[in-house]
Amino acid sequence: MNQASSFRFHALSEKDTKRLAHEIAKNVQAGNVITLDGDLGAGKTTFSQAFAKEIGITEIVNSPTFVLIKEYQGQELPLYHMDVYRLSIEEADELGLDEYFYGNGVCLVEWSSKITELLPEHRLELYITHLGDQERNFEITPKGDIYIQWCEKLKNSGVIS
Amino acid sequence: MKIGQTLNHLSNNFMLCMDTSTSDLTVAVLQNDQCLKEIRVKAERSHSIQLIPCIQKLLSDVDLKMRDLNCIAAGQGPGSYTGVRIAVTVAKTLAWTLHIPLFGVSSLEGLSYGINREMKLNELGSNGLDNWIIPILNARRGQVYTALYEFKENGHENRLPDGIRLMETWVQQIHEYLESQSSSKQITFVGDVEQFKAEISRLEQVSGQKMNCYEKHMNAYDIGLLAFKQRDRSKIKEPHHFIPNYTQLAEAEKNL
Repeated sequence: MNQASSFRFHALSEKDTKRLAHEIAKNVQAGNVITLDGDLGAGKTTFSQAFAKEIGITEIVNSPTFVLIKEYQGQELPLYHMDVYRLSIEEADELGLDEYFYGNGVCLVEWSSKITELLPEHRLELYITHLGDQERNFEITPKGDIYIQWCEKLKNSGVIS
Repeated sequence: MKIGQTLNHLSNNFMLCMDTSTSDLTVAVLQNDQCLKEIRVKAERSHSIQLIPCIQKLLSDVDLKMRDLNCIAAGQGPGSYTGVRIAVTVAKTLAWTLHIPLFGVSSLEGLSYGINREMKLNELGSNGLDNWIIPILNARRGQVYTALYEFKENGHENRLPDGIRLMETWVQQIHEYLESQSSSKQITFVGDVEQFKAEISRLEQVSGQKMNCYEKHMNAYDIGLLAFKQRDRSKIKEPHHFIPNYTQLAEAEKNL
């Protein structure tokens, strides 16, 4: 596997966060996995909501903290929105997450660092840091060729650095 | 629960059977070991939406009510996690609310039993040789839910337990096990054989023997037949303790 190097996206407002979601959503295909980490209130769910809208989900998307996984039907792809904050590795293992990761939709995994060893090798990692009011830093780490290509493309078009 | 009483009359009674451990959803009603009706649909990920309507249709087609049922049998896995828990939940809920016995059957054993039944019916395979049936269901990341069941003229036995294994090393293990036997066996793969044909053909090469391969669907009928064969009191599950057999954890613990 290629050495993972990270990229950066600086969001000054929620509008910027939505723009990043828009740019990432343009690439998605079935079987893609995007992880979202960062402190409470960093904006993981905000990103998820923006992302969901971009892939044509009209339903209200909210944090799946208590239901663990929510499934939505997008225009072309289903979205599997997970929040694994409350799960132990053993519990997550029993959920059979691979059926989602390698399934027919795109997965957004909030608090993915709780289950790192169960994640697929290839994924796009987003780490969000709260800088103030609506200002956020996104550290973007692609793992696997397809995600590296996404990031190179985004970098070439000046979206991320 | 009047288990003893129910069982005394079991021989005349109706069994509702179900399995959702694969991408198929299958339900059946048996009277003794006779299948009154079976329904199978390609459910993919919609087991939870389709199972109850399927059971309702099944019962109405054979003109039975829920309260006419005398026992329930469910495929307990291993298989699709998102699938297997649906049949297990519905089966335990029905068994508990109807106060009738509940039987859990290995889904892999059900698949093996079914292909053996069909092979006999259609005179497939090599006559006279014990049949090693190896069910394989894709568990992703190169893994399969699998086991090895040996079928002889007078019955069958589990030889290697239900579990999740890497297909690549599993065929090697089968080869070594085959080498250690004093008599020849015929080997039958059933389930997601198409997706693992590379590994199966490697086993053919090293063992110098042709494998029977069948891309068979699960039949609730076979789950029911197995439950019927095991219908003594000790095999009855307490509904509250009836859980899916995921097998994954055991493997994870082994790797510790």
